[in-house]
Amino acid sequence: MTARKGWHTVTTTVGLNELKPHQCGVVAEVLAPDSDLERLMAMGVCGGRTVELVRVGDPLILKVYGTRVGVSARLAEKIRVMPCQPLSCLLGPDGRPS
Amino acid sequence: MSAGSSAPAIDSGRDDRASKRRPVIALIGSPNTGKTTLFNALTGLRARTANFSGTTVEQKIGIASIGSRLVELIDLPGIYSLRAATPEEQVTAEVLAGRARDIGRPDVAVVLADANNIERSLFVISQLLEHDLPVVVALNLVDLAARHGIHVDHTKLAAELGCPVVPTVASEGRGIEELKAEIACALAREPSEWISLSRPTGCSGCSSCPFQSRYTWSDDVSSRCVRAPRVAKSRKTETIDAVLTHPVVGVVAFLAVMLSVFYLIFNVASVPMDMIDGLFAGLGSWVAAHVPEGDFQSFLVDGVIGGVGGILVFLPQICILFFFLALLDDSGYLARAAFVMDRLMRRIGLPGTAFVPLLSAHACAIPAIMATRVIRDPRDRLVTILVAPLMTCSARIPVYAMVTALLFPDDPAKAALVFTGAYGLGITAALVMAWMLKKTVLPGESKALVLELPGYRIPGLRTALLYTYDRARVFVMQAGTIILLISISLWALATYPKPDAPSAEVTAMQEQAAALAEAGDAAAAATMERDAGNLAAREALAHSMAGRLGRLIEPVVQPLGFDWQIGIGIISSFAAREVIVSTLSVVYGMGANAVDENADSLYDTMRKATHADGRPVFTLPACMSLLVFYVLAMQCLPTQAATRRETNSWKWPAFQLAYMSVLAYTASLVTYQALTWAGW
Repeated sequence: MTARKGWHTVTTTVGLNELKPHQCGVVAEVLAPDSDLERLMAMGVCGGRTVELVRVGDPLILKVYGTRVGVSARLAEKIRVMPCQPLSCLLGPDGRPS
Repeated sequence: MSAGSSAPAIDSGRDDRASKRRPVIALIGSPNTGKTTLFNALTGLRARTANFSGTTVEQKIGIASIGSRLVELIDLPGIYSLRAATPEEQVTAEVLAGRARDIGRPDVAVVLADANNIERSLFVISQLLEHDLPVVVALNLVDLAARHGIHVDHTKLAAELGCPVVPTVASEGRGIEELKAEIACALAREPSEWISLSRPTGCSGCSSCPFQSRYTWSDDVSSRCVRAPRVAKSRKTETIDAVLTHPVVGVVAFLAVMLSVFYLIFNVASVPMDMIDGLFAGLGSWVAAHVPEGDFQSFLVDGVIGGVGGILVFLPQICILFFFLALLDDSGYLARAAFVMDRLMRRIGLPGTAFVPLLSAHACAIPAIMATRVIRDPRDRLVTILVAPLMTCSARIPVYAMVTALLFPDDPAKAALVFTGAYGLGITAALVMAWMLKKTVLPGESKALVLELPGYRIPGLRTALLYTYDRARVFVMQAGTIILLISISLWALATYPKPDAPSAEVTAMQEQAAALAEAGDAAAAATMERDAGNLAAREALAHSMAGRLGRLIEPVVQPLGFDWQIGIGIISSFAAREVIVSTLSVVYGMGANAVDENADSLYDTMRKATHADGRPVFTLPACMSLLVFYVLAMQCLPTQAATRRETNSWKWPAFQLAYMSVLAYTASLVTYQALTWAGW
């Protein structure tokens, strides 16, 4: 992960479910992908993409590429993300931080 | 991928075309991109639904006129990727490779792209461009995108992809003609003319995500072709979702929505149901008047018309259910319902998507089983199919009504309690069985939720109507053919062998009726004549194969508190449970239509019925046992046919029949014995 090289000393990754409401994170890696996680990856939850946690809980709602996806918390914790500073990356409709 | 490696496939496609075969157009796209709407806009009513052979994935094939000729349009299932990881993706991959049975290799692939979400659509397009198929991109929902300030430069996008890109608004029919023109062009061109300018490179060294390079490519292409505001303008969906996906408010809202749908199902449907009932009754009388009396008349009236009418009467409820489910689905709401129910449903090991089918089963198990297609995991889906018939469907209501009328004719409170208890028993049994099946026969945790929550939109009436029409057709074709066979067999069972001559009692009554008529008392004569007819019918039924079978199974049903006459009822209602009411009515000598015409005297007669030793038959324990039996027993062949269709095997309908029969028998036995022991 090239994106991670410069970061690993200062930032640790957390599970997507640990983000705060409306906080974004950049996907670092997806642990042990099974068919469900692959489906999420095909939807864009994929290394280097920014995702936003819209609703916390189980199931939670995440937003990627402008699409909202309901996801079980047990899947979300396998999606390791580097959290962005709160409110620092409002997602544009194309899913990229503006 | 080199053109050479797939040359044989292309050649076979050409040969087919040369032999005047209709060109095949495949329609591909992610869920919620308006694929069905576009399919309907291109084909209209000229479509049929079937399973892909050997799978339970549904395909829709329609005929569309493109240019001057007719083409076959295949609506492939909604997919997020062409990786062949799910059954839907496998089917899509098979069709695109020309390996699907009964379907030729597509000549052109039309792929839907969501203008609001072009990166994700580009992801599928990037995979599709590797198939060496002419591709036409329909850039759908451009109106919605424009409202959000998103503008896709389709000319630039076409240049990037090396294939035509047509902006469309499928729901309003905009861009359809242009799309057809591009398809016609694509059909006329040779595949060698298709060169894409930019394509993602294959994945190497991106261990965290095999799709990374494709998404990088998608981002690059979209950054060159899409102009979008920095912050999304639409907050509408998010505002509504704040309420509707709330763990508590969302569940309450969902129950309110479904309650309204059920109110409509049970109230509005009664008008067309009465009409259908009247139509078949009229048809029966017409046939009775025009066909000479005898076996053939009885075959037509009771076997064919009665049997088919008895099932078609449920069609209005099924149509209303499917219509509202289609509207709710198209509006984007159904995904929220599955989302909020997921947490609750997971406790019994089923996903949230199983809730709507299980709820629909309260109208009829057949549409419920057909609606289980929304459940992604095959095991979860199978469990839902297996337990759905335990829910109280509308065909059970006449049976519940009969039992409550027998027991508590003057006590509406107790009658209501019995009704509620019966519904509760069905729900509890279904949930417990689902939980047990997930622990034993089909073990495994419920599939984790991954569910797209599409943006809310006004549902399309046309899409909903076409969907309803399609589902209704499947129901009629499937139920119609099976029910016809079954009702003819049951008619034969209840008719043959016939008694040689009416009993002395019947003859005496007929003579008395004749004497009364001569004496001028026409009314008394008619009554006597009718009673004689009812008695003759009762004797004929007792003499028939069904009557003999009733006696044969009497030792088996005796511990449940039933006699051989109720045994006849159980046998004759094997294919359709509500038939027990009219059968018991004949058995007790009141004629088949007594429930409608003279319910009070029917129930009086039944209350007075006794066993051979003089004990009354319809005691409280026996009635409760009968009720429990009809809550839990399968007793519905059309449902079995639906299970067969949706599971693609006879094994599961057989299992369903077996476990439900065992469950019903055991529960009835316990009910009767416990109540008798308690001294009720």
